[in-house]
Amino acid sequence: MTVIHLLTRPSLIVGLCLSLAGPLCAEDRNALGWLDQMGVAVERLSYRGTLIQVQGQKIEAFEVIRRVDDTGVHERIFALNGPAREMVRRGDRTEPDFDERPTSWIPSVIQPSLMLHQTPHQWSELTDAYEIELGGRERVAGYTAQRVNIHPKDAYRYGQRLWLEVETGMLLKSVIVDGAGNRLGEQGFVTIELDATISDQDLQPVAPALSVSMPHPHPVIDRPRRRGSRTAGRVVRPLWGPKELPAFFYLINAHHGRSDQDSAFDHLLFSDGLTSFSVYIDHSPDRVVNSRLEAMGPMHIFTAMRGQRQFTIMGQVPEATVEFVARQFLAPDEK
Amino acid sequence: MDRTQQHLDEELSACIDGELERSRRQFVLKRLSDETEVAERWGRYHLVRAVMRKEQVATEDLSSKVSAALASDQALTSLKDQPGWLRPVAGGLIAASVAVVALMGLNQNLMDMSLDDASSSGLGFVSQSTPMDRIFAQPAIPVSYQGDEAQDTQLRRLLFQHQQAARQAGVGSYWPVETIPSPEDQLPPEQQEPELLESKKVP
Repeated sequence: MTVIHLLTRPSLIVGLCLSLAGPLCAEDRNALGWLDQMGVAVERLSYRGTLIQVQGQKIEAFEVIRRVDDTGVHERIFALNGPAREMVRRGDRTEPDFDERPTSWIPSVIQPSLMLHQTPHQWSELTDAYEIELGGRERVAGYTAQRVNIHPKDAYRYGQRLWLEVETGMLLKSVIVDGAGNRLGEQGFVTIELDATISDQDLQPVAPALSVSMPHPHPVIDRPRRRGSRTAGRVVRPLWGPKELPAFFYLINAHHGRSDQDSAFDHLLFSDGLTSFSVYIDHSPDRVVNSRLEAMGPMHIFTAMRGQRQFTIMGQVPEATVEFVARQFLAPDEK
Repeated sequence: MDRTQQHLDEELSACIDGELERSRRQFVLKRLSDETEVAERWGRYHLVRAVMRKEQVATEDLSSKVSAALASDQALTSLKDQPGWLRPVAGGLIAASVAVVALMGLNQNLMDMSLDDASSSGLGFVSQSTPMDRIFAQPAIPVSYQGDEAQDTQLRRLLFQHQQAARQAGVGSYWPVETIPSPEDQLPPEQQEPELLESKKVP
């Protein structure tokens, strides 16, 4: 048995996580310890379950079958209501490509490495922007779940409530709320079999799959992981960017490249460690767009032209955050 | 209307508009304080002007306000003690001053109302709203995928890239799939159903 194989055994991974986090048991784990365990469990556990997503009045249901082994992540997701839709992941490839078949859902990106989510150190830094506390224990999808409440300290981010299975830390349910406590979105498993044995047959697509690979993530060329300070953080601007940011947001990714229309563009990704928003700057768009602010559940999207350039700001952040950033943009000659 | 009355009306109107020369203004103010009919006419002119300018109108009658001020003013009492040669001049000055005070009070009411209107509308006098102010003053509109196809495709691509980059950086969603709500899903929280995945407390 190889080290990789050992590392892909869910029970070993969860145990390793706990040992790294300290000699903790479910009873004496603090909120950050729970988040540590969740970060590992969602990446490493094999399971099959029914996932429900609620946005406004709309409910989406998916059957999710996921296997993690020494060859990577294998996953099959198909919609249980609405038009028949299916997505199959095989290692680093996903079929079909959503760009070729417009759908109302977006597959999450396969993690190229182990434990890419928040490290324990990163979780601890969340306490600058959020208050994180343990809630009570509740029953979710047939499992006993520990509730973790994440409250934002200002109006520039949303709060979250998480329900984690007490043995593995697996995320069973989450709710995103605004500052007033209004529920903006909710998703969770209604049934789930943890540490399930998933056969190859279980992962076979029902519909003929299209042999189209996922777009490759663009390379990270600049990643100054500057942590937020107590004041509004100033960021290192690669070329373009907001002059200031809402407190505790920082630049975590910057990419300069060319769009499909062969125009130069910048993509900046900012995060407070929990949520994130992107800024896209198209330096020579093929057409002029009208300024507008749009909402998609808890996600806000702002689009505007400045001179010949098109700016798009989007993320699962409140409107106040998008507005703050939009107002900070300055052309280079106005610095 | 005789010429004298017409002339008085013109002077009242000019006085209201602040266009009457000082000597004539004193004369009008004296008549305003002495003659109830003139005071009432003055009040009506103010009312007409306020209506034309869509100003809020003071409900208190000016003539009664002037009379009350005159009756209560201690200066009038002390006037009786003044030498006889001084009484006409002093009386005119006091009447004029009372009328001016009443007029200032009326205008101050209007000014206060105007300020209240300005402040309640959220508009200031210092700066004008910018196009960005106007955008963010409106509620965000639901994303629609039924419009421009090229624009829709571009938006989906940017959304995907954003989620892709966030996941790659370790700050993305923990769920295996994310949905994009349709426009009809964009309902305010108060119109949403209660929690559909309501958990049950573990006893």
